[in-house]
Amino acid sequence: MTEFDSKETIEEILRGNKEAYGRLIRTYQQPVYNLAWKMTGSTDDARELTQMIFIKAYINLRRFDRNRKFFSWLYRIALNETQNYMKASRRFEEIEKLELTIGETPEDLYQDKEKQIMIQQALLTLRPHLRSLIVLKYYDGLSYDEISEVTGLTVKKIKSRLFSARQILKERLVY
Amino acid sequence: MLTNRIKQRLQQYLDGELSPDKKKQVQELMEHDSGVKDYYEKLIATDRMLQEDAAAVATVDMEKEIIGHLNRSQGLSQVGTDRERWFGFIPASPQWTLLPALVLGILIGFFIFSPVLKKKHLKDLSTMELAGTMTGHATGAFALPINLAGVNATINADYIGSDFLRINLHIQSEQESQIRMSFNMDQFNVWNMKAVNPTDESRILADYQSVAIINRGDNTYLVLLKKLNDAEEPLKVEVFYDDMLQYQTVVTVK
Repeated sequence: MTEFDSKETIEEILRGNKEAYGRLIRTYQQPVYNLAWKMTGSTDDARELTQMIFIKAYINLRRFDRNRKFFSWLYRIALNETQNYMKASRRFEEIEKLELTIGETPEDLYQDKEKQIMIQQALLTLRPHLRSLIVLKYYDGLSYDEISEVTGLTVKKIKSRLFSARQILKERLVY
Repeated sequence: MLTNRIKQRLQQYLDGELSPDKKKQVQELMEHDSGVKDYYEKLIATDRMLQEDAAAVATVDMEKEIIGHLNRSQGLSQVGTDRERWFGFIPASPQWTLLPALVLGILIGFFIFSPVLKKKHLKDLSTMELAGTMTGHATGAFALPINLAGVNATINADYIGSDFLRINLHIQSEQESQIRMSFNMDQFNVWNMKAVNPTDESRILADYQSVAIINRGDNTYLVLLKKLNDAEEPLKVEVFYDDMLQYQTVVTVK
């Protein structure tokens, strides 16, 4: 994850420059969305959550310690908001339905979609604290050190939990 | 035999975390034990599936959506002067100011002194609820004084009609403080909000389930919530100061 040139941009945002916040959204919207999507299993929820996360970040921007990395602060908000949202809406088990019409869609695309759903289902069987590590590592491409900054866990603990998570996924996905 | 230790080694081998010596040991183990090799291939397959799935994630562009929401949330506190925001419909020249002011005065008088409306406001409210003193004559939904080291605030709420809860927050804080009111999004909508004297050090924002007021100095804020049903609803009030949660309480809004 490339660290955004956050200090200068945050100064601009705090001076009321919305365009600067737009730049920040453009940089981080995809990983935040990925996290929200893979944690909830729903693109609608992910969009709603992504919006909530960026609004919350904006509200709290003055509280951001500029000696820290911006992405780890933002991800921390994203993780907390996602987990709160999941608790509140109890949508652990919901996943998107396959909505493809045979004939309109090539079979290989259909199979890809099926595979995506299978992976999403497998992810949703993981407990949230394991699922979030898989998402941060695979879907957002964070290194162990970066995951450690975001979650506050030691690298050793992260590796141990990822090992457990991948064991479970292997059982679900590969026969 | 495939022990947990061997499984961990295989995962480390896949992640490229082993020293050359240990790497060689793992390779030799796989050559001699088909069970170990089979397990390793399944690990590779799982890893590949996750990587492929990650690569197939649809791209999103939510910049306009989010900035639009922020603009709507802050519209009243950041665009134009206070007069323009609230009384922009009244022309600035004196001859045109008097007439609408007179009409407005009559209307306000009617709403304040009308016994019918007053009765409507008062009905179903207990003595406790009437304790609010926001306007001195209207009904009070709740009154909440907050006296902390560094932050003094008075939060008064009253009803406008039966659907709207008007919250008046007077805040004094030397350093930046934040007062956040959280609610159930199925029960309240944020209808309007403003800082009475907007400054660079006063911000007021909202999302689906909370309103946050960030203040330094002495200012008053108004928040209008639309109540979506008649049930009693909790409204959580939190005060942050010096980057710490200093106070929180829950008031029940009837």
